[in-house]
Amino acid sequence: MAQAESRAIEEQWQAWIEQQRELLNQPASADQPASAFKMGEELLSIWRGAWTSASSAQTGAAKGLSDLFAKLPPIGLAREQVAVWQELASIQAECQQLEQELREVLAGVQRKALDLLDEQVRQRRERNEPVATYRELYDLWVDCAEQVFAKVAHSDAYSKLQGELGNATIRLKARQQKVIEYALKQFDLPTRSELNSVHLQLRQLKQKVAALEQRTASATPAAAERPAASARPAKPAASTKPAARAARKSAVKKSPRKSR
Amino acid sequence: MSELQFDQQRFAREVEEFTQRMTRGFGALAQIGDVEIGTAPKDAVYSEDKLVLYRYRQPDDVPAKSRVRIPLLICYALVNRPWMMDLQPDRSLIRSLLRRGVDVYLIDWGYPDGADRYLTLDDYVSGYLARCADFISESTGHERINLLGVCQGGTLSLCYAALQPQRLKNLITMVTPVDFRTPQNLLTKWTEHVDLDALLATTGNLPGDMLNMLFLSLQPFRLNSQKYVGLMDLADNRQALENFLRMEKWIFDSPDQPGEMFRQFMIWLVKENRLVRGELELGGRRVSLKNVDMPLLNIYAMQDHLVPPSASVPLQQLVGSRDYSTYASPGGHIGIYVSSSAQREVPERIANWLRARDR
Repeated sequence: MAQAESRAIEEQWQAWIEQQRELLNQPASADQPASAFKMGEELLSIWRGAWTSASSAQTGAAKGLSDLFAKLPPIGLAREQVAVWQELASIQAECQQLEQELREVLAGVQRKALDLLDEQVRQRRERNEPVATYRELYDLWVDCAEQVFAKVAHSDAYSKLQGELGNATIRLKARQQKVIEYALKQFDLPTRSELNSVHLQLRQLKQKVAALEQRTASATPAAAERPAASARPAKPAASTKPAARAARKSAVKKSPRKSR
Repeated sequence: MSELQFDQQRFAREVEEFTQRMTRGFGALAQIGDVEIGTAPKDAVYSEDKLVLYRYRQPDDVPAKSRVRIPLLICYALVNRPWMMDLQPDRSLIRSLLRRGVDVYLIDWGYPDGADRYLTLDDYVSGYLARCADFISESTGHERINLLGVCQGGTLSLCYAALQPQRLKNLITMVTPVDFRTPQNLLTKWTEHVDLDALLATTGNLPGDMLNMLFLSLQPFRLNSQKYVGLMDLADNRQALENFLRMEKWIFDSPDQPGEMFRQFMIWLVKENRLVRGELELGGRRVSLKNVDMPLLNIYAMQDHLVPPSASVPLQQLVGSRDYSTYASPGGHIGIYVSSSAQREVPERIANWLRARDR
């Protein structure tokens, strides 16, 4: 091994790690990811994906409207709709602000992970177990990053920030649903709210049928002869459960389906 | 100056090797195609709404004297599909139990959809789970059955055992959270400030993808990056690649959580820790763990980052069982089913424990 070459690599590594530090020390912005590792961006995209999957289509329109109407009180025939769009724009701005805060926290994780990595590399050298391959270095970096992240993840500040971002995104999604439902109603198309109402009514009807079946079943003399059922405690009158016998009717015992 | 000592030629070689491995790996992955999980022979014996109850076929070569007389019902969580219990022929808790003479039933909760968003915790505990137990009782003639609850399914099983203790002969809980408020419970901490009422009002059911993302973000560097870099180490081992793909298939096949059930679970059990505090009520009845008086085996994983041991261990102090056993398995939340050491230990312990209490 040529010592000069080895030194050159070491210097390149040192320069790279310094470059990463500098990048991480710059304030992050939405347009310019803070780190070449991009883990912060990946985490953020996880959040975005989780909470705002439906929001991307609305983003452009909401941004334009927020600029135009943000400071005007809604009036006139379209007052209600304008108010909804204003709320939407305001919550979107809140989400962006919180995303930015989360991005900075995650950039901090990477910064500290690099510091820890440097320290670990030094310790291994001192123990005469130097990092010899890039793969080893990568694995060590992952260990360091997880270690730093675990500390941050367990902090109250992080869980509070996550909660705030999650709640803001939920509010955003709720407003988006409102806008979509309004549009659907204009075309006399079914909405989620209507479907929910139907599901709820269906559930209440099932409960009533189950209660009636249970009452009928317990009134028949045969019911008293079933040892297993009689050993069970009485179910409350408002029980949501179908009678055991009714449930058994749906059993596929008569024609069992074979599965592999 | 950095402490690193790199040999440029060695580095070039490393990159070259990795590139070659990656090329071979992609080729091998493309050849494997799809993989199957949950393939142990079984029959659907009962169904209701989206739930299917399976009974597994016992091998013919199990000696009669080794058989466990009382049937065992496995109540899996609603998070992910139950096929972790039978991931592949050589990593299957179910097959291992069958070989040891256990008569195994399994609840498959199916994929809840919008029609299930108003189902409650009680619908699952006193409804579906209770009716599956009733069905097994009546079809096998055993008034009391054995129940094994896994993770969230273990918590549901504990609720059922507390409400209907006379229906169970023995209870086994595996990686089951009971005390959700210990400092190690990261998921509890993360949901502390989330408005769950608003969340579920907006999403209806909780999307399975959202849960997956939450789980991945617990160890983001390891689970989103290192795991897939490591995959290339398996490039020349088709069997290991297939194992990897089976696990991926299981992990990302995530049903949605029924909205109201999940809301109650998160608020009552996780946020308010009602099970531990003895304040949980289901269907108008108080769920007192002191009523859980049947023999109980609590199995937890020592390196579990989803259900930390501190969430499972307190169970002993809370239940009324005088015959209480614990097994702390090395490994994590999933390793307890698939690691080679767990494959050797866990089914053997369960079968022996049940056999000793089969009278």
